[in-house]
Amino acid sequence: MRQDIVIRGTTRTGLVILLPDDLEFGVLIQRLREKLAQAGRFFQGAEATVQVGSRALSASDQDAIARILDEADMALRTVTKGGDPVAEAQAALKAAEQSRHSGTLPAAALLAESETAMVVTRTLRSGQSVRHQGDIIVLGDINPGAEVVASGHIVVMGALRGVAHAGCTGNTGAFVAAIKLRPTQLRIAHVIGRAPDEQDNLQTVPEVARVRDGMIVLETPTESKR
Amino acid sequence: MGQVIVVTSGKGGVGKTTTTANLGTALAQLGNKVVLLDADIGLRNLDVVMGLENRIVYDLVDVIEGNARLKQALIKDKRLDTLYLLAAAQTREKKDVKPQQMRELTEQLAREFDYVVLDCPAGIEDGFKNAIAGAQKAIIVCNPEVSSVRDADRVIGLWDAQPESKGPAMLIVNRVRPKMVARGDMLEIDDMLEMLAVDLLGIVPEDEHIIVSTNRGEPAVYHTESKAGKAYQNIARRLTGEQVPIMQLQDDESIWAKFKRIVGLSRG
Ligand SMILES: Nc1ncnc2c1ncn2[C@@H]1O[C@H](COP(=O)(O)OP(=O)(O)OP(=O)(O)O)[C@@H](O)[C@H]1O
Ligand SMILES: [Mg+2]
Repeated sequence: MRQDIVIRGTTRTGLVILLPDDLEFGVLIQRLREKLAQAGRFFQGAEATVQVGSRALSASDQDAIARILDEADMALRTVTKGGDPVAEAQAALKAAEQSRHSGTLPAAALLAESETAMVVTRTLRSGQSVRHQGDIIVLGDINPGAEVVASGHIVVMGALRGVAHAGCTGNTGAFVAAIKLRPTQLRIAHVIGRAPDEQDNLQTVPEVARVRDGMIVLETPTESKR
Repeated sequence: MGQVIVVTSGKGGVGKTTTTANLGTALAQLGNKVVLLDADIGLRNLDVVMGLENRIVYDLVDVIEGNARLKQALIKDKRLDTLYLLAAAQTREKKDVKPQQMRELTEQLAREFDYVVLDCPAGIEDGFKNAIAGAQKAIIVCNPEVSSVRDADRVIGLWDAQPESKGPAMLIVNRVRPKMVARGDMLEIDDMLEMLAVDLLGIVPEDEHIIVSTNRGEPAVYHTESKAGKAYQNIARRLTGEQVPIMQLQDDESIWAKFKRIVGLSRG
């Protein structure tokens, strides 16, 4: 039985907030406010699905939740009922953990729970992917056809030629940095940028990709400080 | 125990069968006992390229299913007596064989031969899984084209991800056109080697002799004037542990010198 509010990210659905069944609604609302405050700006800009379990929510209860999300600069996408997705999530995580070994994470695998940085010490080749809640550091290359997805930043100490998605749960402040930034496609939160079809004036210095004015821009690390 | 080497690529038509036939023949010419194994069940080709099609009585599936003994199914080459072929079944499917059965078969062959060379089918499905199951080394064949490089990368990833610890994948770049290199399209090959980041076993030029020899059922390594044949002979020597510079072609010296610089010390 779930005791506390659980916040998870999945790349497909964005952020999911799971509410425990047996907390009184007033307490629950207060707890949600605290939780989001603790997370600071981590979830800023994210769209969340609220999973209410077996609880029945009135329209005004829903409004209350929507308001709390709004205060935290988040948007309520939908409210869903039933099931205990935590167990499923854990099973998926376990499978993900096992297959991370073989380099083939299932595409729909949920993100790892920890929010610390994950360090990948090999090159990701076509068809391989890594997903993590938190930052990802890769000591190696990301080849075309490979994919890295993080709720935080992505730093590649090598060539990034495949697809990288930073801030996947909606954090537009996330960045993607690489020694050689030549991505097929870059995503930061919901913003998508792709390589220009004509690749001229390619930089030979490390670059950082960020969202500026709703668009992904590439900058040198010095320009990118803020 | 001999070595079990799979020749694979992901993408079809890049030269796996050509490589298996020429490399196997070259290894046998060096005095090794070699068996070529056609793992492309349902689409067999290797027997044709070797000119041995008319001698097939039993095939790989017959051996695996116990319809024939291994000795009965091995076809002796018509030119070299240390070279053998185990043909693929033409009327069966890839899923009729299981990885464990291939492992047992290659293990049995490795007890008698110095080299067991497997011609892998295109793709990454059942046929591929069967072919790599028993191999300790992999030769990835790739053409200097983006799609081929992409598939090579995928296959190298799958090779590395196997639970058993196996040797690193080695790369052969096939169908390289010296003219293309001379025109400065060099960068492409340079980038390709950088991205795939595996040992370069050799570079094989585009060569009309390959087509002629394929049709005649006589591998190009028999033709002294074939540059591709020469390249395969060098590759065979590298496989046996000899240090051979990546390419020595008199008339294209300057071009191949560039390769030497890029690939430097890398060898299989
Ligand atoms: N170096 C070369 N120069 C010229 N032609 C070549 C060369 N290498 C291969 N070819 C030609 O390319 C074609 C495909 O070669 P091959 O059958 O060896 O490829 P494969 O990878 O085994 O194909 P498949 O995936 O269908 O099994 C053949 O017609 C062959 O003659
Ligand atoms: Mg073939």
